[in-house]
Amino acid sequence: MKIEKICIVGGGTAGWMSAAGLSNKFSDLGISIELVESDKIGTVGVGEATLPHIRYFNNSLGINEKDFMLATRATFKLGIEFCDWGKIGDQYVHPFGDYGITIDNIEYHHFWLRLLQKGHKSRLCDHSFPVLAAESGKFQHPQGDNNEIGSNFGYAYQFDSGLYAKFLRKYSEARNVIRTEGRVTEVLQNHENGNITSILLEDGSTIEADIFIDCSGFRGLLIEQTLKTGYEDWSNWLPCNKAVAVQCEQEGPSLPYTRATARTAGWQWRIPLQHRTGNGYVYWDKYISDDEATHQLLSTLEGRAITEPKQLFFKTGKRKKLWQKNVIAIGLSGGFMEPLESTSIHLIQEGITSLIELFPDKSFPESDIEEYNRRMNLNFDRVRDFLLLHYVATQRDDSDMWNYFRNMTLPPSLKDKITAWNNRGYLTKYEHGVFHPPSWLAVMAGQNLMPKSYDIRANRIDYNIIKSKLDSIRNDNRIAVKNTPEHASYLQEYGASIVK
Amino acid sequence: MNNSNIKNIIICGNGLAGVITTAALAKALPKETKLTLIDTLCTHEKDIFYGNVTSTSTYAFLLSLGITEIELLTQSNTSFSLGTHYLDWGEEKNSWYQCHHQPLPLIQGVMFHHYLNRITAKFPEQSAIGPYIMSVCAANKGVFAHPSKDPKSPLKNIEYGYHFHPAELRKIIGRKLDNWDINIEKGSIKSIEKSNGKIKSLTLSNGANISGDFFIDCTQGNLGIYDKRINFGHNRTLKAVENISPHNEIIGSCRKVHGNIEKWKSQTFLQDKLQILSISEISNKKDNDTESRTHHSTGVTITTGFSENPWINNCLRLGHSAAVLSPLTPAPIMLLQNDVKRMLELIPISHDMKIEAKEYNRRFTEDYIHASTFESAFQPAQTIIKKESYENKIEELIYDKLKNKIMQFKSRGIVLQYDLEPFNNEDWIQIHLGMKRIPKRYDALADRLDETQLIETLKNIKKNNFIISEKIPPLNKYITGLIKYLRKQNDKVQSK
Repeated sequence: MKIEKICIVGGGTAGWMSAAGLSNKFSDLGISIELVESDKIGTVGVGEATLPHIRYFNNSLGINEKDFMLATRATFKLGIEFCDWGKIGDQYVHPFGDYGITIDNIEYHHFWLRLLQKGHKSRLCDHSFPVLAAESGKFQHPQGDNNEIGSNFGYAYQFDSGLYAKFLRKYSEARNVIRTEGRVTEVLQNHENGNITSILLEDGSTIEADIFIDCSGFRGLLIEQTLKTGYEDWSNWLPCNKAVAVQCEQEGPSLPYTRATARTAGWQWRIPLQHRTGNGYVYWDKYISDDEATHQLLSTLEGRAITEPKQLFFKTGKRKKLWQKNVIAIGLSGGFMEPLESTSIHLIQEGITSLIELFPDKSFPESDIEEYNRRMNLNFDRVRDFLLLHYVATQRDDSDMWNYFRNMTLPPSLKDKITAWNNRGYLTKYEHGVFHPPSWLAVMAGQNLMPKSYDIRANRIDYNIIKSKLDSIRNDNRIAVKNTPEHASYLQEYGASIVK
Repeated sequence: MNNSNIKNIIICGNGLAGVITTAALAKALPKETKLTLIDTLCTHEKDIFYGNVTSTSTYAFLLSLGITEIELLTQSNTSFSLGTHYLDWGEEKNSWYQCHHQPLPLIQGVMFHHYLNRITAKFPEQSAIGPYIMSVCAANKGVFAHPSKDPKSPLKNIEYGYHFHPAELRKIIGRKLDNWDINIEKGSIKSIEKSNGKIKSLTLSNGANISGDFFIDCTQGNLGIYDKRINFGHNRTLKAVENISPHNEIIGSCRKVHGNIEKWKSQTFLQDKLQILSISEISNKKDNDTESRTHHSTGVTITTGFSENPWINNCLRLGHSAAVLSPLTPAPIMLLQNDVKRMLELIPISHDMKIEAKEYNRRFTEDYIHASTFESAFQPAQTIIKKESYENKIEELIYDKLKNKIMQFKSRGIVLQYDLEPFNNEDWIQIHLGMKRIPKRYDALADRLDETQLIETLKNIKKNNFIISEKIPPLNKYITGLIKYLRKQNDKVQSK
């Protein structure tokens, strides 16, 4: 029996992304979609910075990039700049794309390490076009031939997620998604199988559905409060449990990258949009008070604050099952990891695309549920390891928090990865997951984990040939960046800027 | 200057695995690293278990060893292969083509096979997958052409491997080694000198004492640093009997296999010969019987399975000393290539090789689990059942992975994928459908396409494949023409 009705509980980014994704695929298959949200409940508006994958999501919805950027005040994003992570004073950019090119099937960084060990020093960043472009505040779309420098990089956006939700609401409503205003007061279950049959709203109305998407945020109204699915607590690995966020005016032109600066008890983000900058401080309340965190955040803003500081608290981890019975948790109801690598919106997107691929019928076959949970668990676990890497690849010992991380027992999968890198510049690969070897390389090299050695095959080619090859790649990058327009003016010219 | 303390690498055994390993190292290492290949004066008859079909990755792999396709075609009897045609397979007598090809087109983001499932009740004549796969159409006619670069041509979807004979491939690579002046020692191993569990040197029957920093054991486990093949799971003893006869003409761009997982026979056309390989499983219980001993007397036998720790201390076992897979699929040669590739990425740089060994062993084990899972998929459904207990966890893992893959496919046509599997989606879809594992449901989104439009699209793909397969030449004509053409090109270059 086919599913006839989907109910999404909660608006916000997760809710409206789900509504858009599902209505795009299912509204012409006779499946009706209703989204319930209450204007009285605020949304968290997770991460305003994204990963390149969001372009696939928007593309599959048939969304025009300019329309989307205008509506969400979006800027282009070439990567994340990390400051003070390896040690105070350090800086590197984690871009979306490879460094250099493979030479004789050998990864580029081995040659870079070889030169480094011979005393020919260069920043790994200088071998990446998107990093150099980001650092000079420049941007243009990847150009023509895929093998040329300045063409083979990825990009994402920094946008106002509240406006993105609004934009997708319009999109969804045009595809027959019904939006109902109201607060859920009761959830009814089928006595036999425990599936959720309907929800009651404040005004006494009932919404029945075959499948429920729980986008109700941290509390997990359906997945947790009703189905008691349980939460896998990761706070021993990612112990930051609070955040304070504030928006400020933008000084100077908007920049094509996000910044994450390490602090004594957490880290601070800066996300430049077209019309303002988003800021926040993620911290561990064991080592800093809320007032002190707010004070630190406000005192480091680059422009005048234009909102009141907003306090959030959370527990990192994920729901034991993201799909349980006829409920799928998407967004914060499914789990939370700090937005250090802009993964929140990405995990929402993964949840939606996997659900579309595994969309069940009314019998809710166990095999669909199992496969969905297997995929999502893998996604979450691998993001967790990558985030943790940022905290443990450090020489910082200037606070209790950093000492905590330096003395931590790592998950074995992460420990082996770091050891293989440290020993010989070897990057462990996997196929399924967001962050691939270039990302691991960016963070490990960026945070001063310098391998003792490198792949011996990199010695086969004559030193001078390698040196001139790497020099010329750096040089080509510099020239390419020189010929790239300023990000802000490119945005205007492209027609995606609200500032004319 | 060198970043490595490993100056001296010894490869023991010059069978197919040994020569491939040596060639790969010779191409990859800086000149300062010394390589010695030991010809242990053994016969290489067990190389026959590397089978006769390669995967699509062999072209690039051989090129990385410095062997071009033209060399392969002119200096050996290697021929092109589009895959394998399994005929009357198992009790169910299933027949299907298992061919190399690019992914079938996604239609509105949905995988192709879901559409076939959608129309199967109403249009059964349109629902078989073969005619939609260009390489299956070509294999069916015995024709061949290289993949086309023209994005409009159905030939762009073809991929190919080779029909080869392990002995001939070994010879070509061996000649390369001679040309490169690789140091080859001849002599069987008389003794192994060790200290602290590490191999220091080998004494050969010719009196030579060969010391080294890193030893690669490409024999059948001759280095003997281990007590036994520990954890050698999934054991089956296979016997191979080979029969080679000349032929007048290559018929078929696809290997033919008849039988069942315990006893099967393959027919492979090489350029000048037809090779018939019969593989049968020998019950282990009977091993001591006189009857079985006489039974063993013809043909070559081997035990399948793989070690969990092929790399211990300064000795890496590579090839049959670490793993034997059945040549039912291209897995044996495919995974030998993978072994060499991962070894190259992890060539040790100091005498402490624990990190390299751990990572190699991890990747090796995963790869062999996945290859064994694929081979297990050739079993009939009723034999894929969970045992009450398993002797080792590997066998249980293989069972679990296969069970999940079959369950996902049969439930809704999902091709479940684990990390970095050697066999891809296309391989799995073909075997599932070939073994009549028909999905109960299909992707709901496949219903979005209008039926008339869908049938039209399907008919077009079929028609185009058919037209092309009528046009391209039979394989023997193609090879003769290609060799002639390439020789001419070669002469032109040389006369310039």
